[in-house]
Amino acid sequence: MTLAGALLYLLALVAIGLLCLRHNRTAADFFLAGKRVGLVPLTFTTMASIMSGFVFVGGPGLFYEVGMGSFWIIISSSFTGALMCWVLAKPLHELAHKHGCLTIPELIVTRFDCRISSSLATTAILLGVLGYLAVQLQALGVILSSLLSISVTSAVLIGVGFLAFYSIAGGMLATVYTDMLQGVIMLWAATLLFLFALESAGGMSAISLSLMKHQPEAVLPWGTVGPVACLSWFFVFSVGSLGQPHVVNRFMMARDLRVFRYFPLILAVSMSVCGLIWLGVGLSVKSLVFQGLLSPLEHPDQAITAFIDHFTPGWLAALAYVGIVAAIMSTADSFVNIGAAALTRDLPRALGFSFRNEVLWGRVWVMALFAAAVLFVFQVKTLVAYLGIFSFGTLAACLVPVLVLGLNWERANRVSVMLSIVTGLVSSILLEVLDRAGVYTSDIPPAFFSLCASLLVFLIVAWSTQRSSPGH
Amino acid sequence: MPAFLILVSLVLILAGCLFNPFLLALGIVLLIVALASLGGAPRSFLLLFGAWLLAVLFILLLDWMVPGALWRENDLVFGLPGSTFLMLFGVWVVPIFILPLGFLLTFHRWLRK
Repeated sequence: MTLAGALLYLLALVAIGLLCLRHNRTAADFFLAGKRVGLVPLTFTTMASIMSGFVFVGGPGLFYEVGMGSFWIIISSSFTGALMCWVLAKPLHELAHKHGCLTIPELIVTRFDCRISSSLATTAILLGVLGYLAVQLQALGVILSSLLSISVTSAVLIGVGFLAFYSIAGGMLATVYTDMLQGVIMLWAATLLFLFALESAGGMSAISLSLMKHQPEAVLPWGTVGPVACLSWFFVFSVGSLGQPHVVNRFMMARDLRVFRYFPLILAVSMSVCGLIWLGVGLSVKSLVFQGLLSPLEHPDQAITAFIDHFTPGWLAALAYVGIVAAIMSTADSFVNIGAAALTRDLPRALGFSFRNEVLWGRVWVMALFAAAVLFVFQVKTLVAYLGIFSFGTLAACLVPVLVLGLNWERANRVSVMLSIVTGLVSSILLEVLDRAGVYTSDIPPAFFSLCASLLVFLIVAWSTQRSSPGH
Repeated sequence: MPAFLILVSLVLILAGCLFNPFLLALGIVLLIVALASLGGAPRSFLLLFGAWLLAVLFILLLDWMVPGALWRENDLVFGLPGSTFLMLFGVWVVPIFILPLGFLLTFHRWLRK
């Protein structure tokens, strides 16, 4: 049943890709779904692209490792939708529709007339895209190998095959419509898994009591890492959401400004429902291990698959696996499209040329990015959640100041934009290198300091230099 | 004004992560409020939301500093320890409905313009 469900789902994706094939005539069609997306598809595509393998696989894994404290990463999903609408919706929509911008680096050129900043933003986006894409493919490999009983390498290659097919054929339009399908599956999977998870471990009270007996910190708000680490995650993920290109470009796709009226409410509800999987499976697996009903996991990322394999009936296992694959694919397709846009439009323009047939080149770059991410994923053996935090943090540190302050604050200027991106980029990479070398040992994610540094640099430089001309 | 608040909040955040989680919580709440204010969110609404979020975070931190002072460890609320329930209700559930309502006020102002 699981295999049949997975095949049905993958065939539906291929069909959507084929249906969208002939609707991709211009670059705006291929990279921004023609800028004609309404409320329901916009909300579902935003939710599906945010709720990734990081949430569905990495979340329960991180909960298994550090307990309830991990939930601070996703807890802000209840209000980031409204925050994004306040800060980003209007300026991004206007820049996309009145000035024809299709990418974030183009927004920077239009607003600040600065090619260097635009090129730096392109570099940051490509770095983040590659990292995030590798996270998704790594998670896809774990899930599909468990689902199809094949090796992780084969699973990654099969998953990428389907992803590449509909991303190349249908562009962002296929991404939006597959995200709608994927979003519905994800919501059902998250809700049912949450309920089953609680029931399997004897209910919420039994879970809490068993955790309180064996490892009380696991069920208390700050987990095993303490409040400073938890609050630093809360900071990085609540504020950092404003600089994620796969979310930001959804605001440029909206048909008109009215679409945003109920967008934050529907987004908050749907993302919080997806968050239930993190909470329910995380709590349950930890408790089931303490109750002796499940063997201790060899690797935390196995939490979700261990639960599905041992405690769910066949039909739910099918829905759950398809839901997780949907979550992973819906984020991967968004990122690859953004990366392809950067390589097709932003990088050539920074180098002084442009491609004539941008749709064709967009498709070529989608394929190239998937190939690069596959090579990258076989080199990286990091926990899914930690690789996700690095990519998220790099994008946040480089793009939050530019998008939030740059588009809303009249003192913002090209020097502040340029220096804040450099600060975000350099500090993210440097701290990650120190982290990998074992020099940086704090529980606070390196992205915390990168984001603070880039925001501080933006503010200080903007105050100490000339303001930009308001006409841009 | 929001930009100045952002600067203050960043200083509090950095000081907080080194010295005191209360400062960190205060800085984060102030930053969220300042960012929303920069985007044109109604100030009175943001004040209420900020006060709510700050109160919840401070209670959670107090409970961490003095375990058992606010809830006995085995007293469960909806099957969860009291502090965990407060965290999920106060930081996760309440903002789902409150912030989109606040955004509606801004949205109607956009349309009037």
